[in-house]
Amino acid sequence: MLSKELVAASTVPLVLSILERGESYGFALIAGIKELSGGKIEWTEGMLYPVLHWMEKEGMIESEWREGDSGRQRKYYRLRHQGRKALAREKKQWMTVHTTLTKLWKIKPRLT
Amino acid sequence: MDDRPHHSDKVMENQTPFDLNDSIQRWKTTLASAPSLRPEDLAELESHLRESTRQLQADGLNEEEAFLIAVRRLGNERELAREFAKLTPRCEIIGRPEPCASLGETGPVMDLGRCLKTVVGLSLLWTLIWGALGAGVSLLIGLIDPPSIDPGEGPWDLAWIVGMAGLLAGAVFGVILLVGERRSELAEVWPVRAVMWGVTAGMILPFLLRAEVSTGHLANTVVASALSAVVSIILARRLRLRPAVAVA
Repeated sequence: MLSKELVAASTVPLVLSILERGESYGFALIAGIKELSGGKIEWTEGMLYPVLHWMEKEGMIESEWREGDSGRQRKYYRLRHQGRKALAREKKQWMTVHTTLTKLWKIKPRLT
Repeated sequence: MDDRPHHSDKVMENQTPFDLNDSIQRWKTTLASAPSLRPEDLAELESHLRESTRQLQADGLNEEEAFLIAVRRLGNERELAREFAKLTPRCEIIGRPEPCASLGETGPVMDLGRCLKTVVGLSLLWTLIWGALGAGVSLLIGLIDPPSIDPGEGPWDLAWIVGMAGLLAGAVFGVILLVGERRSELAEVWPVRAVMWGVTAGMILPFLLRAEVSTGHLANTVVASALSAVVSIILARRLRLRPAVAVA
């Protein structure tokens, strides 16, 4: 399980990254992240929807009510230009952390 | 309890008098009382609940069990309402009250509108603080040594004069703080550094106001500025929305 700080920090980049692949809706986002993370990231609805609404307010994503394949109305979210820009920034930052940690963890300390 | 006719075609498979639409309607009614949940939020949550129920049914639960578990997963209505009530999502960056808006942004961002608001806000706040200080000093001297007060140095006169100096000092403080820190809001600045910028503003001010500067003037404006900077940073941090609570 991720710490709550890491969940908080990673929700926006994760949502942006899923939506980069194509539009999606709340339930599918939660299910998708759970599957991709091998069950290690479990978002709650009470957490995700306010984040989505905030991201929409910030202009990163936009939403639309449409009939899904179940025949019921679903609120679909898709990436906007602002969101793509935010994602590019996120990618750079996360890759910086990732490469640094990778380097640190691969090099074994030598006691000479 | 109620003995309305059941939709027999719907309940046939599990032989229970459970009606999904009825149950969802009741669930929505309890949620609808929360002011933070708009009708559109309710519709989105309902859509989620139905999806979740369907999924659980596909996993082998009957409709009623699936519904009950799906509702539970969504969390109780109070929790949901609280989450939706937050204007901004959780953002917990340890040690520093980083604004939620910086999620998804790199480093400090200068936003002209927010900068302007900060400078205007600080000017007004400092006008009040300095005005109060001026009036306070005049009243104090009036109590201790009334004859030393010249006409034009009454509490109102000093409140006005010192308040106007405070207006300028607040603006100077705001500008050098934002430029020095490259941030748009005071609450994002470390308190100690904010006070340091306050002292700097206090040192600059006398030179802006008059040609010759005495140490007395300098001491007054530096003390008043440092004090105002402390009040400003406390207020700015108080006004900032508290970082959100834990992820369930």
